[in-house]
Amino acid sequence: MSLRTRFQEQLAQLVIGEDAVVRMDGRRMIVVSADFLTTILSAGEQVVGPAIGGIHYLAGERAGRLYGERARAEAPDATPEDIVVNIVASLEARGLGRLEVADLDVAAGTGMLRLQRSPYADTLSGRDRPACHSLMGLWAGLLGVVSGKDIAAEEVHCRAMGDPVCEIVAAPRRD
Amino acid sequence: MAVLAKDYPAFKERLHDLLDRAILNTGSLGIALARLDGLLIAHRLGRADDARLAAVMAASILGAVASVALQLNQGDVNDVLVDCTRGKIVALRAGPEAAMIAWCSSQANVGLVLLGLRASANEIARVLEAM
Repeated sequence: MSLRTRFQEQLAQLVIGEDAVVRMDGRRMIVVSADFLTTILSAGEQVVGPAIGGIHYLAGERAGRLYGERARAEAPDATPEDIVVNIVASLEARGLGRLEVADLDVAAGTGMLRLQRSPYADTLSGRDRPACHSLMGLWAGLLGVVSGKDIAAEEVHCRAMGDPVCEIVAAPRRD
Repeated sequence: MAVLAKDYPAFKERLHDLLDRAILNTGSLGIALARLDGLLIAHRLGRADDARLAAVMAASILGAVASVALQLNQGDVNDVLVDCTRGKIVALRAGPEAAMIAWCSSQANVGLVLLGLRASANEIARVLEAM
């Protein structure tokens, strides 16, 4: 199925009520520009410096856990690998740019997510540090749910730093 | 400095040892060490405390105060002391790449706590630099 078809299928699931509230699968959605996200990051950076990355990471991690738990509840027979791949495909079809699960070992709790066009990296180019903290957190949270381990993720390559693609690696946290 | 380094266990053990000593020397009730982007490096917290949140808070406190210092042309931030009704919180830099947060009882001698934590932060900075 082409990306365009998947995108249109997702759009077809959107329902708007008389109260102008948009829902998909019963959950409230809002359609915002990518600038909305990246401006929150850059404005936050002006106030708390690089620490805004950690705040975004935490938010992404919680979202990743939520997506994983919801997907598992909706499809209890799905394999962990299918859950990860389907969520990543869904995120891709929502416009996060081309995403690739470059490596995944659920039992070990490791994996690599590759992003060709992260909206953060697209907007915040020329940085000396990675820009995609919320996606790092999301990857850690999602792998945490499917593996049952406490996972940490790190963006080892980021287009915002001049790398050709963004790559986020995850592995169990070793406390 | 990478979270997923090869010689991570030895590095982590060394940091835990330094944090244990900092707690012993200052009477702190908990300590978290974070990268400046708020990601957790190491901690010595109770089970009820969220180490990841503490790490982000450490970096955020120092980051926010650094922004204020910049606006007011006050130079680099050495440490931040927060005096609360039930205790005291100290946030300080541990070298160019890390932030540390610790808290202690309201009866603690702030001067001694600051001195002890500064010494620990300097040692931790050296360990991080050697990574």
